[in-house]
Amino acid sequence: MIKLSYPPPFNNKQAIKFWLIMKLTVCFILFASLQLHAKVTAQQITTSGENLSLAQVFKIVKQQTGYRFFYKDEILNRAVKIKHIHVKNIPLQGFLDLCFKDQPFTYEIVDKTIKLAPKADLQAEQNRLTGRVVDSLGKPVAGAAITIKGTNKGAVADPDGYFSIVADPGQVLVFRSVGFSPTQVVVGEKTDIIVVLKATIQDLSEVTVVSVGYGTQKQRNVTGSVVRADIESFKDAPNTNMVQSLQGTVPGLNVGPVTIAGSTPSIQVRGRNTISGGQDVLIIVDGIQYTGDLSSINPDDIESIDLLKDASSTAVYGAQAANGVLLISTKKGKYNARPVISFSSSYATQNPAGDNRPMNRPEFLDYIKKLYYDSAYLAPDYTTPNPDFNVARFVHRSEANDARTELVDTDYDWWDAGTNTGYINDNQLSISGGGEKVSYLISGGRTNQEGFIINDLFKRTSVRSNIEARPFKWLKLGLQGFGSFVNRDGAEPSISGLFSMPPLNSPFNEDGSYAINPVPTTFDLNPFFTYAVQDYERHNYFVANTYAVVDFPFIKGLSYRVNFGNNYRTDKHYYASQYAQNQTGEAYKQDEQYYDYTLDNILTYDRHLGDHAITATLLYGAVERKYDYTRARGIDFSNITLGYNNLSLAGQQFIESNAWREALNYQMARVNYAYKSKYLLTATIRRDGFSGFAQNNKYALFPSASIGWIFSDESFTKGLHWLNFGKLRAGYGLSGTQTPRYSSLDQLSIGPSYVFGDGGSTEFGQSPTSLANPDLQWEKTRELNLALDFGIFNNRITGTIEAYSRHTKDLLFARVIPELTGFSSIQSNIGEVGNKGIEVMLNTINIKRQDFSWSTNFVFSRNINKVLQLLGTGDLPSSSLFIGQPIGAIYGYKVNGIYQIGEDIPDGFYPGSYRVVDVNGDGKYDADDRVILGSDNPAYRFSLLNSFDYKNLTLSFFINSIQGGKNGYLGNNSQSVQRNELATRINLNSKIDFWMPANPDGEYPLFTDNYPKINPDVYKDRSFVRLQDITLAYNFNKFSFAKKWGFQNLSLYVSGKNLYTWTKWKGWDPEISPATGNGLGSSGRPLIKAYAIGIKASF
Amino acid sequence: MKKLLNIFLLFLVLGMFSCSKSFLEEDPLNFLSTGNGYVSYSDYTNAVNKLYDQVRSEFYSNDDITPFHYIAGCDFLYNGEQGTGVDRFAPMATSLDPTSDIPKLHWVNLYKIVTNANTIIDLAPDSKMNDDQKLEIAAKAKFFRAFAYRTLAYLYGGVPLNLETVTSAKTDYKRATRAEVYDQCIKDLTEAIQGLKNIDQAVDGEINKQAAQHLLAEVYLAAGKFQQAEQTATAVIDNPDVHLMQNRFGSKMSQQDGNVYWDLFQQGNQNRKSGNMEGLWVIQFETDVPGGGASSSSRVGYPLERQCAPYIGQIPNSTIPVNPFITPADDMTGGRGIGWSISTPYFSDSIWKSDFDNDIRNSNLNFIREMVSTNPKSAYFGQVISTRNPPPGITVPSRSFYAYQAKCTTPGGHPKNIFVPGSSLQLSSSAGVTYLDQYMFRLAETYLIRAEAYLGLNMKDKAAADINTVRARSEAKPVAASQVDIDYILDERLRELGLEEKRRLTLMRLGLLYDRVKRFNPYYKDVLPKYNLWPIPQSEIDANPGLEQNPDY
Repeated sequence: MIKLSYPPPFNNKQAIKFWLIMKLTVCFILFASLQLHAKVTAQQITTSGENLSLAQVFKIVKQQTGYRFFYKDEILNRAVKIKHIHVKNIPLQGFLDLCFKDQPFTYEIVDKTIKLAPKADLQAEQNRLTGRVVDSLGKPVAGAAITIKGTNKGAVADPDGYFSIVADPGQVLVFRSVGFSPTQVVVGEKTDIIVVLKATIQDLSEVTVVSVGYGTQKQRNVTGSVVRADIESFKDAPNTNMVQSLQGTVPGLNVGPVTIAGSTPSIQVRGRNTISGGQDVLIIVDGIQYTGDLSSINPDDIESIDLLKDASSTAVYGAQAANGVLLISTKKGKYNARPVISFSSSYATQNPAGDNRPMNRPEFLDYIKKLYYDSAYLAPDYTTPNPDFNVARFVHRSEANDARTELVDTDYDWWDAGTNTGYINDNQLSISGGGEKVSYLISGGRTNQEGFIINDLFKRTSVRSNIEARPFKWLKLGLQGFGSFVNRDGAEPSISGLFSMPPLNSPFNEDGSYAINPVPTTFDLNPFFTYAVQDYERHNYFVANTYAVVDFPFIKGLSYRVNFGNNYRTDKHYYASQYAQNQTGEAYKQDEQYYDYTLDNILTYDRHLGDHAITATLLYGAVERKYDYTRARGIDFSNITLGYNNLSLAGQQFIESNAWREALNYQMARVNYAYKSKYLLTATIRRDGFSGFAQNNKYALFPSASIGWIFSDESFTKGLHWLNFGKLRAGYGLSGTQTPRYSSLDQLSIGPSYVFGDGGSTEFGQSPTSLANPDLQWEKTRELNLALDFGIFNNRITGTIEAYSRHTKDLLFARVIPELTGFSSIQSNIGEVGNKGIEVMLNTINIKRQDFSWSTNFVFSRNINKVLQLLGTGDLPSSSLFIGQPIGAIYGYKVNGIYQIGEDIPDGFYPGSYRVVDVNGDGKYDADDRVILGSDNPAYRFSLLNSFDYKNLTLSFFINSIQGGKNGYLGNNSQSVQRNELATRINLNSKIDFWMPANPDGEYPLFTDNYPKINPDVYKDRSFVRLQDITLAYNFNKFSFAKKWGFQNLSLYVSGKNLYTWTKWKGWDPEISPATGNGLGSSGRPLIKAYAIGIKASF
Repeated sequence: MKKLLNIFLLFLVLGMFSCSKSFLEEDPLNFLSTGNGYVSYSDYTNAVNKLYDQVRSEFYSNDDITPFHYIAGCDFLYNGEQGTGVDRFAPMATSLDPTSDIPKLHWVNLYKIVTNANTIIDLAPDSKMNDDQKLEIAAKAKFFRAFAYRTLAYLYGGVPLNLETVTSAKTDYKRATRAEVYDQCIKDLTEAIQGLKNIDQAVDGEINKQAAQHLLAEVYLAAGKFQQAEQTATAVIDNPDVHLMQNRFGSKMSQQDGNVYWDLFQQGNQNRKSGNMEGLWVIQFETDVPGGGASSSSRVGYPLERQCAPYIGQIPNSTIPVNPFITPADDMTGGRGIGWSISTPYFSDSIWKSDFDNDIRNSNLNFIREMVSTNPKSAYFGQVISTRNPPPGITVPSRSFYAYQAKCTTPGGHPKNIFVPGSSLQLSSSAGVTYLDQYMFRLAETYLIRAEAYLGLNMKDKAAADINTVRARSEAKPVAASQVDIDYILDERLRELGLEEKRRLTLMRLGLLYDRVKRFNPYYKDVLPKYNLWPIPQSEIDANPGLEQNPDY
């Protein structure tokens, strides 16, 4: 037993001095800590002598320590004499190490007995025992401690539950892990065992420790809305961005789809809080706010993701937290664990889900025929084909011969030429482990993705090293550092260009060069001009988060942590195109740099006193962010061969630069209190200062409180045997959304404005472009959160039901003012918006047998968004904002089919135009007929994950759905065409079903010469159900070859992503925002369907 | 426990003091604000420069559509592209609905000029400029403010008079009467004239005393103050530093078949440096110079060519399968015109009937009616194709072929970058800009303003004399005093100014838009009397409910 002896306690003066030091950086901490060295007073030996026999040594030890030796006599025969020894007050262990240095055997200390044992290398391998620790569901128990009973030898199970230990037959292994009952196994003949640990009566929430911001807490004791994401179930899915694996898995966390290689999807928590303020969730990586693109983070480096949803839990992050907080922790090595090398490799294909494409040649000619239906069909009803119709007369003149009697032969598939089957190739290697004083994880990864559109490329190389040292028992120092190097070289062709070029024209001239205007005499540029360019785009991320933790010896439970996070990013974008600027060429070099640091001082006091448990946290911190940007650009090149590397060859040269700075300064205090481990309270207050706050409002206060009651621990529920766990919790708090930097200041724009006289030079001009508002404030979100956590039927069913009500006021809003002021708006705090919702998470174990198990996770969420107040009484139809309606309400005309030929059609409308409904019945069709048609908000979302384990086989599939209910989740899917010269040379989506007299049920309007006075946008239901992920994995651990080759783990898997979507929506994927994808429009990007195959190994 | 509390408190206190106060102060790094941006003469010069830019953008170069709201939908052009004509007032009901873009866009742009001028006028007295500088800067700002308000009053009638810098959300503006707006313009211009340089002292393109007087004379006309209008116009006409150009001059003087009217619209000939004594206020374009407003590699500039020249490329049809012209070309075929605004027969024929052959403004160089076929593949190669007697298969007027005023383009003068690589004739798809400086005010118009004043004063002799001064320069026969009426003056403006004039402003100033369109432009059958004023933008009424809408909207 090692004991620490402490220096005399500090007096008050010393304490002050100590705290001053604490305020300084990590270096000073280290310096200060040198005073706190510890002495070891173990069993000690003092002796000296020459040529001592072991028997003499045994005697000395017994005299000085009382320890006895235990051995077989014949061993002593093999012993060698100790030639020379001279020691004073050396610990027993050190003394024995000296004496046994040259002996052919070694020793073990067991209780007060020293046991002689054969040297490990002689016998160890034949006594090596390997195995796996799993829970009753067959899931690995990572980090389970294994000890040989009666010895101090032990091992730790790796993240997949595997362990390896040397033990003699007959010895007893003890397996321990928090939340499980200790289990003993007698070592027998088998060298490969599986140990099933039984959970203690409490459910897993007892064990899971979640991040809650500036600290961690047992899930059991959490009173706010904190959820740990299930990233484990999706680790085999072909996702290059970790956020993708969260899509649909956490109730209330709404993650959008991804259509660009490597990009980060949109993330939103619990509905929209704001009209024009920031909507981004706050991202914290290893305790430090991360402002970089999440595509820089290697998904394989992530240990856990926790989400803070309600204001009572996010309030620790104050003014930045109203949109929720995502806490990401990266993997670490373990102390006293042997090195584990892990390798994984996967390959996935990338193809679009759905089959959108532009019209091919026959379809396009058919469409031209529709446009000219009054020629192609015979009057008066235009349903009988006109035998004299020759489409060559009606196509664009470049698509027929000069006499316009014959079509050209060209049949070019633009879409096919601009797309290909992409892939993701992902390779990861890591090594982790640790000794007594240092733990480490070093990983490297390489991801290579090629999207469906040609040249949509993403390559990421990342290295991480997470190292922690505990040089003294009271001090921990750590570095979590990574470098990520993202390469996005290459530019895509114009997608809308590929879509809209007619199949009767080709991108090439006769000599094979790119045609400037593939449709001659028009100004539509060749869509491949944006592709045939030099494009160099690199994003380099360097992150070094350092920390020190001091456990104060003089006050039990008090610890101090300082985090110093450094985040540096460079973005380079170099570009040269010979086709830009009317083929005179354009090139630029653009460099951006970003740096931020975070310095957090966290003081934690954690103490149990009888029935009282208290954790108090104090925080003082600051963040500073700096950005600068430089761009040199040239156009009008006489020679662009050297591209962006010699911009001085440009006829006209431009330089631009830009910079900004912002800073935060904050304090936070939090108390967690538990009485009898069942009455829980958390109270928090945060004070935030931000440079972007307006002059008159530099600081903001954010208080919150939440309570919890574990009723399953009450005596009156003891009789309910089916109830394993039950907790009620309630929280109320305030969090905020910052004003963006500089938004409260008035701004002048300055730039080149005029040139006086012929041959004159540039004169600069300036004018005010925005108004100042020195009273501008952050948005304030108040939220009440109520929840029930439960586990029943022996924890076969566990879950959480949560309800919340959010109220956000002082919304940041560009208040419209009359433009005769010279400004269209002034940034103001106006209006209130509410979000109410319910979230359900249910995990069930449906079947649990020896060889087969089936479990289901179900997630459901529903959010109702409502604008509660705007300017005075007024709705703001121009911004689609109406009191009592959600943000995203859709305001427009009702439509009832399409006017047919021969119908009595009101003035301003024509055959082929929408039959707009005269809602107010005044006989006129005008703006007064507009009504609220619905909204773009979903009615509810749900998802279902089913996992099956059969022997070595694991199968899981994940279904995700967003439903609009009645008039919800609508998207603009308008298409119409008017016959004119332009229409004959623009290709469209092949799925648009245009009306014409011979196609009276056609869905979309087609106009001949007259455009109707109202051609309203139409909105359609985007509801869908998607088979989002499916994974089949096979584990080879039990095969002898795996063991022979030293694998701890070896598995192969196949997986699929976005395999099928059930929806009535037409065109691009319904979940892709119609604002950009626009359904049947030409500018949309496909959702990617992927098939993947991969291997994982560790040894 | 008490010790613990002490430590916690200490910790907090230390934290509070450790951050210097400036840590959270917000200093913008890459932009200025009004607090530090209006100090020196150079700051104010920059602010005034922006006014020139704003005017150039609003009336010429904002994009390839909106500047032409000032000439489209009037009595001399009609919409060339069926179905997509809203920007060319077809149909007018759609174009001029209170919610449509046209009334809003120009309202916003013009009031931005007002605001920029207001800021200068408000802040200048407290600046570090000396008195002369203050006088000059304020004079210029007042000129621009008057220029914007006069335009607003012509288009919308009485508009709210906002004469101060705005600092908060004010939403209770009221409309002034049209007369009050004119009075404000007269006041501003009268003051401006005191501080502006004489034209011979001003830099090319700079606003000057004579330009301000020209504008003031026009506003007096609008206000019905004919006496003052006559006097003010006379001050310009009698100034020895300006006169109508009577003889060949400038860059193309040596071209044999040219004439003096043609010289006025050749490249480099608008500014006084070229010897031009006629331009009063010339809007400056300098190709490929930052701030120059025009580019040779993209369609940036004044795309009058694109708007008003015929879309020759659209000629081929089953009757003429091969285009007689290489197109788009840097020749008499009109560059890269797309025939969006087609000359009405009234513009291309009727107004010239009285003196078709003498008037040099109607020569084929200045009003192009005949073009020589340039396509060797065409049966017409080398032959003249005329708008007056077109070959079968070519309809006149149609989008692809009509007579047009040459000043909308620059035959032989397109910059090198705008050609298809390797060609010296064929223009690229980015062409369409008219690479010329543009007259906002020209002395010939001052004569016509004075003629209008004389007409108002019922002095038809003097009115005829002024008109004849203008006609004589172009070798046109004089008009008899008895024939002079407002229609004659408006026709003369078409002959002399044509596409150069902001025709809409003249017609709406006179309240004659409806009348003239109804009589002379059969392509706008839907014109109504209410269109003599534009509607107040609905969004503006929404934001400021006290604004009254114009009648019948």
